[in-house]
Amino acid sequence: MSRPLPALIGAGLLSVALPLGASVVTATPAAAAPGDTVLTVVHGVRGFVADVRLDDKLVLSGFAPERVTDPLEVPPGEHRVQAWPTGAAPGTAPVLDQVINLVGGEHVTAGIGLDQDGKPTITLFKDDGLLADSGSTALVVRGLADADPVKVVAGDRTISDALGGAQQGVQQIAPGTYPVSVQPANGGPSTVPTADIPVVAGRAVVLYLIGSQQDNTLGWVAQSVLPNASSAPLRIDTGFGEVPTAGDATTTVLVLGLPTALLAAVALRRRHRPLPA
Amino acid sequence: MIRRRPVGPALVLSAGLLTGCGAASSSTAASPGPTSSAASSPAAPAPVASATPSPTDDSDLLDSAPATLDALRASEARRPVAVLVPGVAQPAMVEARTTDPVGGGLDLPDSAAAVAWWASGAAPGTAAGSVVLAAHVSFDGQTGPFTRLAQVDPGTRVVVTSADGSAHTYAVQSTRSAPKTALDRAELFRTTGPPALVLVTCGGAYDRRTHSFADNVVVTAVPV
Repeated sequence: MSRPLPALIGAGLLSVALPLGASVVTATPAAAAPGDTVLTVVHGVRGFVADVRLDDKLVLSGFAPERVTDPLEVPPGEHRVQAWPTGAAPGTAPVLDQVINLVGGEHVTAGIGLDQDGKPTITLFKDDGLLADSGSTALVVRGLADADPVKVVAGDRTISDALGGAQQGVQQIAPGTYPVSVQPANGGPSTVPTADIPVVAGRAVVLYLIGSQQDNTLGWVAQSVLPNASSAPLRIDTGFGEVPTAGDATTTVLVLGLPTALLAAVALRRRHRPLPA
Repeated sequence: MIRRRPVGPALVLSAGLLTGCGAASSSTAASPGPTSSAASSPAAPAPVASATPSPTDDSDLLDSAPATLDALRASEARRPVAVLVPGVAQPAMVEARTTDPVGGGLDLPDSAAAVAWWASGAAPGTAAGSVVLAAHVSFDGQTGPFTRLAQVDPGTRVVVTSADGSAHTYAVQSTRSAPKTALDRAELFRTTGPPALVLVTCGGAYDRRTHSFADNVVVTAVPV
C-alpha cells in the first residue's frame, strides 16, 4: 500500500507556507475563527486503520475505515495531510501524503478513498448548498471507489447517471426510505446489493461509494449532513386562536354564565316594572 | 482503538452559528461538486524526519463515529414519535418537521394534537445538541399537549419515545417566557454542545387581530 513519493517537491518549499509543527489546527471552539473551514473526514478505505496528521499535528489515531469524524475547524489555505497505518515504525513513509486547499467559511468533507491505481487519496466535497432551501431534504452520492462510473437510482429517481471517483450527484427528495441500486453506467450486472436508505426530513443523507471494482469490494458508507445554522427556524408560531377555557368550570360561569344571568335579571326587572301611571 | 473526546459546543455546524461562519446561503444551487483544486492536487511532499506516526498527545484527537448503513438506519430510528409531559398533558404523537422555506418559521402541524420535532436538529439519544419539540398552545379552538406547558414543575420527568421503541427520559430544568421576536435561536436550535430537550409553545398576550400570541414558552430539560 505504500505510495511512491515524488522527490522533486522539497519539504523546505512547503515549509515556507506551512511551517511543520505549527499548531494551526484546533478542535476546540475557543480558538475558532469566523473564516475557518469546518472539515469532516470520512474514511472509505477498508483494511486501512490510520494515524492521520494535519500539518504535522496528529489529529486521528487508529482511525478505522467506515467511520466519520466530528468536524474540525481549520484555517483556510493549503494544508498537508499524511496518513500511516497505525503502529507503523517511526520514520516510515506515509501511505497518503497530500496537500489540500480549504476555502474559508465553507463546510467540507474530506473523503479518504482509492484513486484509479487503487492507492489511498483524499477528495474534498463541499457540504454547503446540498439542500436547496432551509426546509429541503436531499439524497447525495459521492465517489471514493476505484471503479468505472456507475448509475445510482433511488426508487424511481436517478441520483447520478455516471458516478465516478471524486464526483457527486445531488437530488432534492421527499423524506422516506428508498431502495438505492447501483449499475455500471455502461451496462452489465451490478456488484453492489440494493440497500434501503432512510432519508430524514430536513437534512442531506450522503452515500459514499467505496472499495474496488476489481476486487469486487464496492459498497457504501453514509453520512448525515445537517443544514447550516442559518437555516434554523426564525420563529415558532405555536398558537392559532385563543386558548379555549371550556375545561375550566369557574371561568365558564364567569365568562358565559354571568352575562346570561345579568340579561335574565334585566328581563325579569322589565317584566315586573310597574306600568307608568 | 478510536480515542473519543467530549463533543464541544462549537464543533459541528453551530460553529457557524456561534461564530457567524455559517452565513453561507442555504439557497444556493445544489450539486456544487467537489472542489477540484484540492481533489486533484498532485503534491506529495517528501517525508521528513519529524513526521512520524507515533502518537504523543491525544487531548486534541478527533472523535469519530460509525458511518455504516446500519449506523445510518439506527440514527434514523431514533427520531421521536411520542412525548409525555406528566402532570400537564396526555401522551402526544410527534411528527418530523422542518423550517418553512417561505416564512422561515418552524413548519407546524395544522392540529393542536400533534407535536412537531425540528428534524434538522438532534434526535433523542444523540450525544450532542438539542431535541426541539414544539406544539400549538391552541389551534382553531382546540387545546393540545402543550397548552399547560408553562405550568410544568422543575424536575418533572419528560419521556420521549423513539421510532425504535427506545424511551429517553429528561428532567425539566427551567421554564421561561420570552417575546417571540427575541427567540434565542443560537441556544434553542443547537446541533452541538450538551444534549438537551427543549419544549416550545406560545404564551403571553393574545392578539385577536393576528390570532397570535406575543411570547414563546420554552421548557428546557436534560437527560437523566
